[in-house]
Amino acid sequence: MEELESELRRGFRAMDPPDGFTERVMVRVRSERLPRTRYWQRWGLVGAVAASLVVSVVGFQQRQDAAGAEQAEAELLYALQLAGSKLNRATDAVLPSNLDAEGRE
Amino acid sequence: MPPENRELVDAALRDPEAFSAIVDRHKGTVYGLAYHFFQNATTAEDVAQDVYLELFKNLDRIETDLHLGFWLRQTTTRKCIDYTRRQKHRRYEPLENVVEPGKEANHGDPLLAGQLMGKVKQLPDKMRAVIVLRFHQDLKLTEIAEILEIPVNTVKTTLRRGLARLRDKIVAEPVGIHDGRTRI
Repeated sequence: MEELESELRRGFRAMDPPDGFTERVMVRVRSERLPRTRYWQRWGLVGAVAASLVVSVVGFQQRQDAAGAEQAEAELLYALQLAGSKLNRATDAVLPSNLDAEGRE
Repeated sequence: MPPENRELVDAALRDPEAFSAIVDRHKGTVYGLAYHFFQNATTAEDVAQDVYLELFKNLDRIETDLHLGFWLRQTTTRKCIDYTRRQKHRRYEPLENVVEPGKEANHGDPLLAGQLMGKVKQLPDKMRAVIVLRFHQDLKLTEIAEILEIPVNTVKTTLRRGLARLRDKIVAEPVGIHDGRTRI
């Protein structure tokens, strides 16, 4: 058994990798490098981005709602004006010219 | 006086390019361990590169000089075992892993030691790891137990059985100088 163990030690001699090994490792390291930030900084950044996204979406929604309300109001006014002018024309067509809508001269 | 491992780690944390100094210092250990596990240079380099990449990503967790050495041995061993287990599920053998006939574990060394390495490669992965850590890395049984995260008694048993298997393989297939015509 001792001979076996000594032969094993002889067989397991020191092995260096082929030339250029370190450079090949560094190529992989450079290609997969992440910013060396601390744990809390990374999650702080993620949180800040998430918060700004939420604020942006909410703000956008509010603007959409406001814009929608304004547009709806404008459309309503326009519709009322149209309706009013049409009503005037209808009244003019129906009533004699010397009478108003109340039937008074 | 060469810088301590801790100094190299700190330097690499400040400047990633300084990581190459850590690679240079420990490449013999990492590559050697992988090479003797697989008896294959290509696979050994693949695994060794993976080990260093993982080290780079976890550099800030290295606490002491001893911790770095332990971490490298443990991670290299773990990756060697994982690689072997993944290979078992493959239905094909990568060409670089195929050993040419007559060249198994042949380092140009006709002596028993060189051919014995081929027998080591036939051992089960955990048993192989114990043998390599014991006779290549020259680690104590307690250190091997820590690296493999198994009880010391299991290491002892595994080592004893591994040596017995190697002895049986030598007896079953006598090794010696092979002149192409007769086996001694």
